[in-house]
Amino acid sequence: MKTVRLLILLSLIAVIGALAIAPAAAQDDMSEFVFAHSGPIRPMDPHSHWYGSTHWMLNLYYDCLIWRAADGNGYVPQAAQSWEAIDDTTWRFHLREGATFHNGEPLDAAAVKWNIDRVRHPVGDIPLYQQWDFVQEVVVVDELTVDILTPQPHAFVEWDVSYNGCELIPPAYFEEVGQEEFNRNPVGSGPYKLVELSENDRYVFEAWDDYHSGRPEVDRVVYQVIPEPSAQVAALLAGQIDMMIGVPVPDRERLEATDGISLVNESSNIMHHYYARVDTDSGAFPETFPEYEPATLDINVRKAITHAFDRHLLAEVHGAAEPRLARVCAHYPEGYADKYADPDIIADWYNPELAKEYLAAAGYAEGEGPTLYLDTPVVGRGGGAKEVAEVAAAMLEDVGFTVDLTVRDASAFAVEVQRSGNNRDLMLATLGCSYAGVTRYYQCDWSAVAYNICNEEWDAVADAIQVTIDTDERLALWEQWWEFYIDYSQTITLFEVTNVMALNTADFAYAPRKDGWMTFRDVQVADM
Amino acid sequence: MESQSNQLSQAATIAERRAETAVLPARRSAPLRILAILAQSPVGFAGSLIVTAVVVLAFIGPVISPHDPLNRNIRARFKPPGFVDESGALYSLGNDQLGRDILSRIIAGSRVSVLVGVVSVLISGTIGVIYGLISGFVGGIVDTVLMRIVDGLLAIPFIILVIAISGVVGAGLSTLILILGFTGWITYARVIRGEVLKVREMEYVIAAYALGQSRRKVMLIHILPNVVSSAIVLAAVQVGVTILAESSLSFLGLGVKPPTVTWGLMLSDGRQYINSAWWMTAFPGIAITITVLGVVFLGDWLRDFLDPNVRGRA
Amino acid sequence: MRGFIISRMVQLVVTMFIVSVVVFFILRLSGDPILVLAPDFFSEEQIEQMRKFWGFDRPLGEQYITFVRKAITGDFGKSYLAKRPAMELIIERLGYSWLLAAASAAIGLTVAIPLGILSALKRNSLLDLIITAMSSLGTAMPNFWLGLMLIIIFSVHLRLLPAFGALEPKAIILPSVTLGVGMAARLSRMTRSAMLEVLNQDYVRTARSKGLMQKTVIMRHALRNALIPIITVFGLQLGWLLGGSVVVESVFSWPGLGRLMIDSISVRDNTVVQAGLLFYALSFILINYAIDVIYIILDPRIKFQ
Repeated sequence: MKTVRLLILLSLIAVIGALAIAPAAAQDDMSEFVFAHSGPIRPMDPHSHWYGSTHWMLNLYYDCLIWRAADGNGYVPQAAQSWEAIDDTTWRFHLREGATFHNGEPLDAAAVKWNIDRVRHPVGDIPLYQQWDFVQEVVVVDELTVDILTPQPHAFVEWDVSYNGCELIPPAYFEEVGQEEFNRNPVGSGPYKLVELSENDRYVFEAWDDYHSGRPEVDRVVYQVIPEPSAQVAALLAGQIDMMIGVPVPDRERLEATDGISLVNESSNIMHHYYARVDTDSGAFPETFPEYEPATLDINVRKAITHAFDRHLLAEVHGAAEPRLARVCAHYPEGYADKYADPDIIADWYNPELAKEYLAAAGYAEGEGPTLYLDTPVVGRGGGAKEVAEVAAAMLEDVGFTVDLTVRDASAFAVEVQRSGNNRDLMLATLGCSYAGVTRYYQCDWSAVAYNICNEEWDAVADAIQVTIDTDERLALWEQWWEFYIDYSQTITLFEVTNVMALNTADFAYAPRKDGWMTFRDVQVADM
Repeated sequence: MESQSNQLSQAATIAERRAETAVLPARRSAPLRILAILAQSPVGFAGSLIVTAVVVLAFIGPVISPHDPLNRNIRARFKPPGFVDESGALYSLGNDQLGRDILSRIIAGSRVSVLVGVVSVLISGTIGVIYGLISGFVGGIVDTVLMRIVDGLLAIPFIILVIAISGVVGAGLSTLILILGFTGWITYARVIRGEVLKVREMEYVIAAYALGQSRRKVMLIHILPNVVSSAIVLAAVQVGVTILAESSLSFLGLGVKPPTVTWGLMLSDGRQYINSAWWMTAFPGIAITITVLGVVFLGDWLRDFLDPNVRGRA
Repeated sequence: MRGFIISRMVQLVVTMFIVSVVVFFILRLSGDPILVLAPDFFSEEQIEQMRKFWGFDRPLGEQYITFVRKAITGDFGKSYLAKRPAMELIIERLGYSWLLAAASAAIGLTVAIPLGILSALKRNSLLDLIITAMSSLGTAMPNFWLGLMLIIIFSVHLRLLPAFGALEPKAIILPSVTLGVGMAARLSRMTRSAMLEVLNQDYVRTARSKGLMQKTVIMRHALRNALIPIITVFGLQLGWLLGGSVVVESVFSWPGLGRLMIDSISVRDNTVVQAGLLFYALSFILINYAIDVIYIILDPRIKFQ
């Protein structure tokens, strides 16, 4: 009898608990937009990390001074109502009168200075972002005016000032409670307030009535962490979420055919490349592989590799990608998309015969090319990398290489290969198309552990790009820069990942951003 | 003097009796005898049939495999079971995300399951038996310390321990086998120790001492053989546990990595596509289930046959 | 009674000490997790600085002592990534895990005990065969695979139940059934053999011969005595349940401790993994102590040792 009672008790506990824990469904009339985030989501302190997909969410909650326009052209005001370059090295930002943080703390020039200085002079384990190197000083002109001074003319001030770490947090509150408590109970400055936070699981935001530019249209935006794409699809079909990205290939037709759901494709601004090792003294390489001489040190071998890849097929294997030759995305304000993103040029670039000639020039007999160690994570940023690597390895073997492919899970890949600089011949690199930052990776003073590249001439072009404010002049420099990039063949670009998004269009209208950011200040309630 | 010889003869009788029970049916050649015993138990028969089939598959897989398990065909990916390509070749269980034949991959995957199951159980069994022997035989403070360590390790659920370790040291096939081997022994240590404690008090062991045999000799000649049957029964259970653990780890992305083909990895691949390509998950899972079921049956039968007193605690 | 409690406390402390040593040193096997934490663009100098910040530059023994000293006061360190105390994150998820464990245990027990008894009473019948076969099948099936199959059937095709999360009460059904089935399979085997043993004993036979009704005999006499081995297995099964929940929570995106563990392991957030493992060990030990107490209640003949 006791057992029976115990069983009844257990079942009761389970049912009551389930009822208690499940959050009350939105029974009210509030509109609620739920986005399925693949996770992980990192802390709410926006200056403490560089996790792009967390910054998507932070953008709802914090204002920056200015922000990249959704269509990719130019910038829009946020905390700063207007801004201008007073001279080549001084940028002035005009703040909004009466603007505050969510807790009523004034969002004034002093607060802005405090924020930018915090990012520039990190303490503890907060990383130092080279992005913010362009700032020499932040000057409070008056309560609503702040100047950013740069040591030399800087071509990408607007980009850099609106990128990660730009989010404004209330100085007085932060200094009162400290980082740990701030991560638990953050206070923001954006159009949405945080009403529920379950670390790396569920984040519920509610529209803030007092936002300076007016209350946003959708009442509630939820970032729900669902790691599995298949679970995201099921949740979308069940009406539990309103939007997901990265729809698996076989599910696309089915979702497209479902009433009230539409598929939208837009660039993710993430590209997949293979990095070739071009030196033997960076990172842990000299200790890990003391006797090893990578075949990729020979430029002819690298050229053989780049011509061995059928990028169209690799993009198809990935499932949602456009082939590319260089780190230039489809939407690229700095030009050259026509040249390095052109499908025909890329199709011609695939040339196994030429690849074999390069191998011969490197001194290898036909069919007896060197062994290449190819390292890849199972999934990189922007989706499956393992399948792509398997096919890429076969393409390399077709022109005479022998390929030794090692697949690791993402963190093992980061620790054992990427961050430690143990890439042997080729490794996957998944990077965005930030034109403001791309040149830095190839400069002599770059501190990356993965490789060292130092070509004086190329380096000089990169320096010139950074300080050239005139657009035409800069574009001419870019042309030279990309020629170096292609010729050097250290970064063998494969493709640009396309975000395949599925959206509940019955209830919401949303135009995806050109920068691939999943942030939802602009989401609208659909017309009935 | 008299009492000693008495004890000796008693011990001899016991040993004889044990030998007799081990040879049940009439004396025939060894393989035939085992078959005859198996035929008496449907469960044992089914179990051994399944296990034999999987082992054979692991060895001759490449010969009977309908396709190359690594051969991909992007244009024919996610094809359902029964798909026939333009050349007329049949893909009876469908294709995966790279257009590879599921059936051929299941056949290829049997190799890893057998390898992981057998090798890690050999490692863990050896360690566990030695550990248990020492603990039970030496006794005293050594026993207490060794058993406290076992308690500590047992307090962490096996699969979580294995997940944590492989998350830390990274994995690949050989690392995984080692991890499973070096964590699985805990199960044996306890049981073997218990058995040793029982056997230690038996008359024939006491007799052996009385005859002046060294402790080492007693341990190896008189005690070890008597705990082996328990170890074998446990090992059979552990093979199943290990195969399941491998598939869980590979499924979570912490185990074997491609291009090695394993059932757990196939499940991990298929998981992404369960909304539209159920065959990618269904069939590898069935393969695991049948294999482990075979091992479980065989283990049940072995337990009844060898040592009715041992209860598996997996 | 007091002796019992004291001896158990000592045992607990010793066991937890061993667990802490094992956990701490295993997690330090591959060095520190700084390389996962550090962004791509960190120089070696910056990485060194970060190492210092988290104390990874200290000798291992010293790190362990610091860890234990703090752990005793309830401070298990901060999550490297969430930058909040590890224990806080664990407690945040705990409710969900207990809920899932309770629901699965409830399913496991309600299914296993009646089936086990039935199987034992109708020994060697067709029913017995079917039940035994089913329980073998339940043991052999990987639980995460069963979960995926349930998702395909009930979420994808029938669209009856949610495939992920804990957003509505019915979301608990699939994960708890997935775990419950495995548990029921193991428990029913045990119930069957325990019942068989008891049914053969003299006092049950006596009770039967006295003409007591079959049902009363089973409930009063047999089951009560069979409960002891069943509960032992149940206790061990709870360990299995805790472990199984790690994988199953990941399949169903259930926001419990198991998923926290998997997430933390995959990014090497070692403070959380460490605190989680210690927490699992502690709960496992405490559950087994609770079971010891239940023994004594069930069978006064067992004495406190």
